[in-house]
Amino acid sequence: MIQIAASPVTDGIMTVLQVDTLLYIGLGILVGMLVGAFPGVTATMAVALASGFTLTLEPIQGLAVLLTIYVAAQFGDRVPAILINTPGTPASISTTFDGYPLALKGQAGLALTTSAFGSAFGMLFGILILAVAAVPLSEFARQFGPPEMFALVVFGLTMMVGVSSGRVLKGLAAGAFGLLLATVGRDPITGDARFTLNVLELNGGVPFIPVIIGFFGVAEVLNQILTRRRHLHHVKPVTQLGQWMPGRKLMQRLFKPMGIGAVTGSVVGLVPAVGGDIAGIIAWDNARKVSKHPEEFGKGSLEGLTAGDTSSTATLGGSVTTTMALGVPGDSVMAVMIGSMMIWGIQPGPSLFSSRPDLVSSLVTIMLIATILTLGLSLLRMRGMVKLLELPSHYLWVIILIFCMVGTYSINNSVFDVFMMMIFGAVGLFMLRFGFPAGPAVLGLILGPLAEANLRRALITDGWASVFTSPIALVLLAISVAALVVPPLRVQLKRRKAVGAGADQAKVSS
Amino acid sequence: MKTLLKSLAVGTAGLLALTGCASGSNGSSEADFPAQDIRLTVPWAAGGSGDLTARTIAPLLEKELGVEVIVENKPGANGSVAYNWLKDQKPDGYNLSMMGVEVATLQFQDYDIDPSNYAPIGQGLAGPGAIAVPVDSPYKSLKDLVADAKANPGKVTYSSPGVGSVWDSPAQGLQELAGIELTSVPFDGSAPAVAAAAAGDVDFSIDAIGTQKNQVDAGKLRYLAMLTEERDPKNPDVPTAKEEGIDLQNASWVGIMAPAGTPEEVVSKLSDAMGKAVEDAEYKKVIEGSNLVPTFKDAEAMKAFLDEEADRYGPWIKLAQGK
Repeated sequence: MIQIAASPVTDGIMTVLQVDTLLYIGLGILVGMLVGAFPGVTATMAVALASGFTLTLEPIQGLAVLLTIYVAAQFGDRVPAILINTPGTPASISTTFDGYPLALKGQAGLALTTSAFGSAFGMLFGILILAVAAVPLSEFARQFGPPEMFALVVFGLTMMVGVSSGRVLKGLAAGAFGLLLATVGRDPITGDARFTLNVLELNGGVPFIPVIIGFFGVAEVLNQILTRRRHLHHVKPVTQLGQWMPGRKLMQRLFKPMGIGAVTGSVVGLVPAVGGDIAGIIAWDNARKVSKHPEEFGKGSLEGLTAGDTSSTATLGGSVTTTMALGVPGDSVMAVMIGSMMIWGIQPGPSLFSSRPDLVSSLVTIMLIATILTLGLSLLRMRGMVKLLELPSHYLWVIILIFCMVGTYSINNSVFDVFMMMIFGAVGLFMLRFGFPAGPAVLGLILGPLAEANLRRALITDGWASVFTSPIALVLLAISVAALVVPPLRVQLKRRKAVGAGADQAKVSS
Repeated sequence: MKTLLKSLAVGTAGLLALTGCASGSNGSSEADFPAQDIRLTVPWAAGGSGDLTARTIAPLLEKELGVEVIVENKPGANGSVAYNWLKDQKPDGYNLSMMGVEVATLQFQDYDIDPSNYAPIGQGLAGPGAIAVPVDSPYKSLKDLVADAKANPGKVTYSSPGVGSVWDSPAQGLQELAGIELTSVPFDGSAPAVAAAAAGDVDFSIDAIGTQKNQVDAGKLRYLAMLTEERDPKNPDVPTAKEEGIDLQNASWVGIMAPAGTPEEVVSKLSDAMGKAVEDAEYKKVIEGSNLVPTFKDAEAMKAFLDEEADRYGPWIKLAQGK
């Protein structure tokens, strides 16, 4: 019995411990740390781009690349946040609160190392959640038929409020736009063409990876080009790095914020569609409340730095768990990864872990190796990263745009996809300039077809009765209603406070 | 001056190279085929069984033909993106595409795909079908299922990989032959459709034997009847639908085709090479490993088969759309 139970686990580990898979992990680390360190290039975009190149790999190798990029980007993005007060990816927004003040105080080296330790701790904690909770959660999720899936996706759609960055009405408008895009293509039940405008390619629906690359990559670059003047007075990178390793006494002081960050991040990570940016800010605020030195927060507190960084990486384990076990993206990076996995024949969702029991241990092994190697690399080579930031932004823009196009074309060898990317880049620019968050639109585009198809499947089998006789579906729908009717006011308040503190901090430092 | 000379030289060399290439492809008679690399397009995304077939057969074709066979994915819109692209290529045998039953069936779903625009090269594999029920289903035989569906019209549900697909259509055939009315619950592809039956969300699954195999092995599904002429040698205890009084057979398949107008000599050369590749032990190992059956039909048989498939599926798809 033990033999039978143990074999998928060891199988899963062994698939990862192959020379070629390890090489792909190494590749992922390099790419991830680089994109993390480039402000403006998010982990979402890097994974979306890389997925175009990894589709022809074996699933485990492909996952090794994509997951490792995801993991490594969480380390790399701290560097510019600490050194030039610019988050490398949104997940390190909270890093800027205390990291940059520390750097100004000549403690950049210490900030970089404690940040890396905190990130690694958060990652390991999240991986533990994945290893422990994935199978039980997926056993529960096996009871999810079309009615339950519909209710779950509705709950996922309510996250549009959460990813609206406080702009709820504009967020919902963007979400509705995403849902509208999701109706393009062949009807999932009858096969009739809808809004295809006689464009052959649109029969397959609006391709979401080009849309994501357009929204996040192209729109961001275009926006930076347009607002260039504002950045003329670029803050000079801090070259004085100071002390590197934290002392033992300091480490002991950091255990509490690390613990707070790990728990906060894991819980936030399990919730679909919410990522490290929000988790970092919430944990930063939680740590401040229980700290003996709350006055240091925002002025260069190592506690605040580690709490935020631990939390934003701890979301990864939870995100991966949710994504794999429920088939609902845990955050925007996982939303992109779901697309790749489906092409590899891995269908994230309730039946995944029963059909592929070895996958959990493979995922855990990939993430463990990636975390440990990235931590090592971070401690060794942080100094080299600083050089890359000195690249003038107009070179960066061109590089990013070329990568966007090559990456998009390579998904399907399709020029149509490149056009879609550029169109949605322009749409994304419009949204960015007028304050419409792109997150809800992507959420709508990805979850819309799932909601529609599952609802209609449920209606075919037993009408509305099939939805309202399912306890799971009812509970989920009730939670969804609560999420909308009782807006998370407290979270909003906390975030506003945190952002306010960050802004004050920026004012003080400039 | 030096740079001018240099660029002139480079330009002339380039022109020479270009004309060389042009005369190479124009001048080659069908007898020299193949004189250059062959492009084999896959109308599906990388990773599926059709893609796997292309990547397995390409090196074997290279061995037979002595030129490179480059596999390229052009997925989109049920394969019609690649099929449309192939239609517009020069019919010289250097541009080929994998094909599935959609070449015959897309025309019934408002797609601009006409089988007569293509010259089939051959078939590479078949995925014979089966009807399977959840293990705890009350149906012990296909007769039970049919009897229940007769008593409760429209109450018995099945999962299909999508309207007009290779497995939704034979379900229409089943209803027609048995005189029953079933309810189709379409999913987005075979994997989720079979999983839904395994979870008991629908009453039965109609799909390829090999696709259902994982769930049968996992103890979630039970084969009720095979949609084959003879009993499946790997499942000798499961009767065929024909034995149960329903004369229904269906199999998914993958083949290779060229644009219409490709010279017969070229088609038969390609077809011969494909026949040898399908017989190759390496090919058989990969295809059988994915629970499919290596099967070869030559160009002529394939052309007739394609027309038969269109005749068979057309009414079924009309039936499904009429609902």
